This record gives sequence, C-alpha cells and structure tokens, in this order.
Amino acid sequence: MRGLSFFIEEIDTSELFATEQPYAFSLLLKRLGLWDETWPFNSFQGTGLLSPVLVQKVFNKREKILLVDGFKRIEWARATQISTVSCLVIPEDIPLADVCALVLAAQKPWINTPALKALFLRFLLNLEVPRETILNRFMPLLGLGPAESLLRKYLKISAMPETVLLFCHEKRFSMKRCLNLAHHKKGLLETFFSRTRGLHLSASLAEELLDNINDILKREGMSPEQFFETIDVRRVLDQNTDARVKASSFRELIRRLKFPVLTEIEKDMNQIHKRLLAGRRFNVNWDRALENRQLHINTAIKDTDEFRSVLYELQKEETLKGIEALLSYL
Amino acid sequence: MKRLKSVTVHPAVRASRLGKIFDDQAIPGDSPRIPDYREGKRHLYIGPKKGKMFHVCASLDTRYICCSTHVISHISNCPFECTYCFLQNYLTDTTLSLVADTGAILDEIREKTVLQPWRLFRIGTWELGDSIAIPPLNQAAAELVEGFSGMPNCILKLRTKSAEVEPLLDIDHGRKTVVSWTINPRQVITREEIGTAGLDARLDAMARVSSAGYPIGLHFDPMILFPGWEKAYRQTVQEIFDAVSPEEVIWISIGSLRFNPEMKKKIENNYPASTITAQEMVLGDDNKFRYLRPIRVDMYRHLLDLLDEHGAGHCFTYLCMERWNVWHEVFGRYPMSIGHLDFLMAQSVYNRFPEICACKPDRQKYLALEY
Ligand code: SF4
Repeated sequence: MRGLSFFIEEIDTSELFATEQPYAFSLLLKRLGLWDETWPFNSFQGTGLLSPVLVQKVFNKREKILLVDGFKRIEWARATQISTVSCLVIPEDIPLADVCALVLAAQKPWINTPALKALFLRFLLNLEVPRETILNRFMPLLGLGPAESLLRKYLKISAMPETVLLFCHEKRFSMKRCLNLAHHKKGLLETFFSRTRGLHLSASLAEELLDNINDILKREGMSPEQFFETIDVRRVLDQNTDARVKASSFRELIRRLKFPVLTEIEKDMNQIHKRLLAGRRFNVNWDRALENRQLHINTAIKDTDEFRSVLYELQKEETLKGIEALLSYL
Repeated sequence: MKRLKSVTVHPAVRASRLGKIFDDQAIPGDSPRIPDYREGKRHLYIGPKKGKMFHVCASLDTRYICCSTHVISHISNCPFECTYCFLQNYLTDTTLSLVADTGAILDEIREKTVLQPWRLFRIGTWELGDSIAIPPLNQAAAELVEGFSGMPNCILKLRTKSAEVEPLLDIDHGRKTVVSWTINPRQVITREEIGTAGLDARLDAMARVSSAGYPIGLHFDPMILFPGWEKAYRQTVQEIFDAVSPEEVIWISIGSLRFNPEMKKKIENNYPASTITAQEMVLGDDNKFRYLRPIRVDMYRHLLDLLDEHGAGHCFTYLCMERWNVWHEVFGRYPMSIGHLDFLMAQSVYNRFPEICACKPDRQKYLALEY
C-alpha cells in the first residue's frame, strides 16, 4: 500500500449510523455472535491505548462517512451517549483494495478459520474487489495460495448459510471438511443444522449424516422439511436426553433408513452371533459390507490347556451351526 | 449430443486420412488441453501416436475375476454424457482426442500379439471413450476393422451407445471385429445416458451390423436399480432378441453400477437431477460403492433368467468386476482365476465361432498367464 495521508476529525456518531456501511465485516461477525466483547477495552486497560476509529469520507452528491474500522467502539460510544468521536480520516481517492486491506488488518486476529476466511473472500467479492487482486493480494494475506481453484472452493464454502459457517468456524473445520458440507443444498444444510442443534455432532458425524440424509431425500423424493417432520426422526430429535446419546440414536436411525436391507441382514447376523457364538474363547468377525465371503476367527492363548478349550469350543455343534448360519448370509 | 465447437489437427497427421476429414475447418496445432470435462467433449483433437497404446484393461484387479481384455487407448473422452461415466473423475486433459496413426497402432498390436500365437487376444477401443460415437471415431474404427481382419489371433471389440455404424457396413472385416452395445432400458438411457442413441436406434444399428456379418457383443453394464427395473430389463431383453439372433451374440457381460466416493461427489455436482448415487450402496475394499451384494445377485439372476428365456443361455456370459462368491451365487460355479476366464472365453469363441479362433485354446497355457 502506498503512503497514506491521514488527518484527524471529530465525527458525529449518529452520522455513521445513518449511512449504509459497506466495510462492515465486523458487523457480520457480530451477527454471528463472534464479537470479542473484551476487545479493545482490555487492550486499553492493559496499555492505555485505544486504537483509533478509521473512517473514509466520500462525496457522491452529498458527503458520506464510511466506517472502515471501529464498529464496536462506535457502538460503545453511542451506548454511553458519546456524541462525537475523534476519527482518523483516510483520503477518498485511496483504492478500494487498500481500504479492504485496512479492514483485513483490523479483523485479521478473528479471521482464523477456513469458514471465516471464506466469508472474508465473499465480502471482498461483494465489494467488487477485482478477482485478480483477491487472488494475488488477499489470498496470501489470509495465508492461502493465490490459486483460482482454491478461491473457487472458498467461495463455494462462503455460499453456505451463516449458521453452517458458524458451526464450521466453532468446530474449526478444515477447508476440506467445509467443502464437503458445501456440497449439499442450502435447504438441507439449513434444516439439518437448525433441527440438530441439540445433538453433539463431530465434523465427521455431521458429514456422514448429511450425506446419508441427502441420499434418502433423493431416493424418496422428499424435501428436508418433510423428512425432519417424519415420526421416526421427530421421535429421536425430540427426546429429552443427553446430546451425545441423541446424536448416536439419530445416527443409528439414519443408517437404518439409508441401508434398510443391510441393517436387516446385520440384525439377523448379530442375533445368530449372540445366540450361538458369543461369549466364547474366540471371536468371529465378518465383512460388514457383505462383499467378502469370509469369516475371521480370532483367539489368543497362553498355554496348551487354553488351546484345548478353544479347540473344544470350536468343534461344538453349536459353533458349526453358527458358522454355517453366518456364512449363508455372505 | 451437442455439436463440436472446434477441431484441432496436429500438423504431423494432417496428411493422414483421418487428419483430412475436417480439412478446411480444422485448426492446426497441439491439443487445446481443455480442463473442463464437459467442455472438453466439444473440442476434438486429432493427433499423432505418442508412446505405447496397447495394454491390458486398466480396471483389471486381481481381487476380482476380470475378463482380462486388452485395450487400445487411442480415444480419450467421449461426446456423450453418461451420468455414471468414470471419465469425469479420471481425465486431466479432457479434450475429445483421437490418434490418427492407425497403421502405427496396428503395428504395435502385431508386434505384441505375435509373441503369443496360441492366445486369443480380445482388444477393445472403449477404455476412455465410445468406440464409434461420431465421425471420425467411427472412421478410425473402420481402419482398425480392416487391419484386424488379417490378424489371426486377435479380435477387435468396438463398444458403443451410438448408432453410427455406417462406415463399418461395407468393409472387409473377416468376422474379426465384434461390435458391442452397452444396453440399458429406455428409462435409464433417457435419464442417465445423456446424448446417446435411444434404444430403438441402437437396436436398429445392431441389426444392420449383424446383417453385415459382424458378431455382436452385449454389455448389460452398468445395470441400474430403479423402481420397476425387473420389468424394464425384461422388455429390453425381449427387444434385443427381436432385433438380433442369439446365434450372432458372441458374448454378454453383466455388471452393476460402481463408483468411488470422489466420483459420487462429481456425479452429484455434474448431474444434480440424477438419483443413481442415492441407492443402498456399500463401499467395498476396492474403495468403490456398489449395490448391496444380495441386491446385485438378484439383478444378475433376473437378467440371466431373461437371457435363458430368449434362447441366449448358451451365449458366453460373464460378470464384470465381481468376486468369485458373486459368480458362484449367480452361476453356481466360478472361474478359478483370471487366466481361467480368459481360457473359457477363448474356448467359447472357438466352439461357437471357429472361423474367428483358428487355434484350439490350450487350458494350461491360459492358466499359466500372470496378471
Ligand atoms: S458412452 Fe461411455 S465413455 Fe461415453 S460418456 Fe457414456 S460411459 Fe462415458
């Protein structure tokens, strides 16, 4: 950025609120509940310094004052009935990208996850910062490579509903994880995240559930709203239990709906296992996808007596019956 | 099918027969290297042969009983848009490309196949695209057909979803080329095989090719599950054997829809209206989703019954990318190895089409083949 000549001016706070503020990335963070309420006041308490409020005056028929940095300080001033504030005024002719760089410099400590980086890139695009500039100047400032394909991915992420971006931010999802979520339609994301608020969802679980629900909706020709209103789904989501327990029952239900045949077969096989093969000195496992016709029988022994017992159990009629029954499903 | 937007011909092949087809409209130069899969389908590049083009089918996987077909990779990308096409997750240069040096390709094949004169090589041209979808692909195919007519131990396999058979009809093929169609019911063709010839057009082309003396191959692969699939496949099989005699069908392959997780995302992005990825499918240890095994077995058995009903029970029928246990459930028996299946196919050709396979296949030699 070339050298800027600033000057200081007393600005009426009410003027700032009367104007539409294009650089209000900070207000977006506020809307998401991401304002650090202690800043900059804790910094003031610690150092005695309060960074100045930054504004730009523009003249287009009439004068407008655009707030570049200091949204929280201005809100605080208004709340404490301070009617004028000394502001650093930057020149009107400073290029848009330079103003955005100032916005970024001020907000950077909070733009610390892929979800918020995506939001900031969208903010730049909405301000009509040229794509070339976003790529070559802002992506590196955000710690990202200046690649068009990467920018496209981030913009895809930024198009998700704000509630989902907030979820991604709070869980500190990687770019890839966010992108996996961004793959789903907005309607599904919105309904899913609003209806599963009471569930303890990890990144991978959210992804799995969304993928499976998406498939169920397509297969059944249902809308997300219809799906979340079905009795089975409501019964699980409206339970009055712990968030983890609820998440696990919901996962089970979705799995059953996505894989109706497989879960039936699994149920039968588990019953056979429980009835004829459980509690032995050996374990029997099989390919849960039912692709390989193979049973794995494992045991651990420490002496020959144990070995004899295992052999004895393996040769029991019950064992053979169990093995035969399991194999008939594979 | 959408029209081509550009044709580029490499200067080295401008004088060849295929290079001359678009004479006045062609731009001279190298491949435009289109990165977008769907856009690439609309830009044709005709270029020279670079490196080896003849190899074993890349899908060969020793966990499965594969048919060990050989392929010539002189075509890349395809003007059609099947929603399930694996090319959308495979190609980097997506320009629809064709190698014009048919003579050099034939030389490479001769050089390799002459080393195993006892073996019947089945050689496909569909690994990375449709064999004859548009001119000049079908003209290139015609050149290969003529070349193969003089190769004693090779069969050329053309595979298509088109009806572009005209250039094949009046040439000397010596029965050494099998023209095959991927077959699905109308519902699937309309929804999932975008831009391809409809079933009627495919069957009409099949009948014409059969009348011209070519053996016919049928590929029910990928079979697709949808409400009413049983009835739809029944109707389709009926129509096929109204068009051609089972006696002219040299082999039939059966397989079901499969794709890896990245491909699932690609399909969903490229074809959001398609529901093929939403069925009950499980991820196997080869990282591919397939319909659940009992469902696949039901589908395959149903199709086998239909083939039987229409007098095609004696045509050599095999499964594509399936394990021994699925073979066993479907046929009640299974080949011991990939080499064994190779032998069984050669034996069937020898017994049913002796004019194509002059030499009696030697089981031991096939079993000793290494993959
Ligand atoms: S015809 Fe084959 S190569 Fe062409 S799009 Fe369909 S599946 Fe892909």
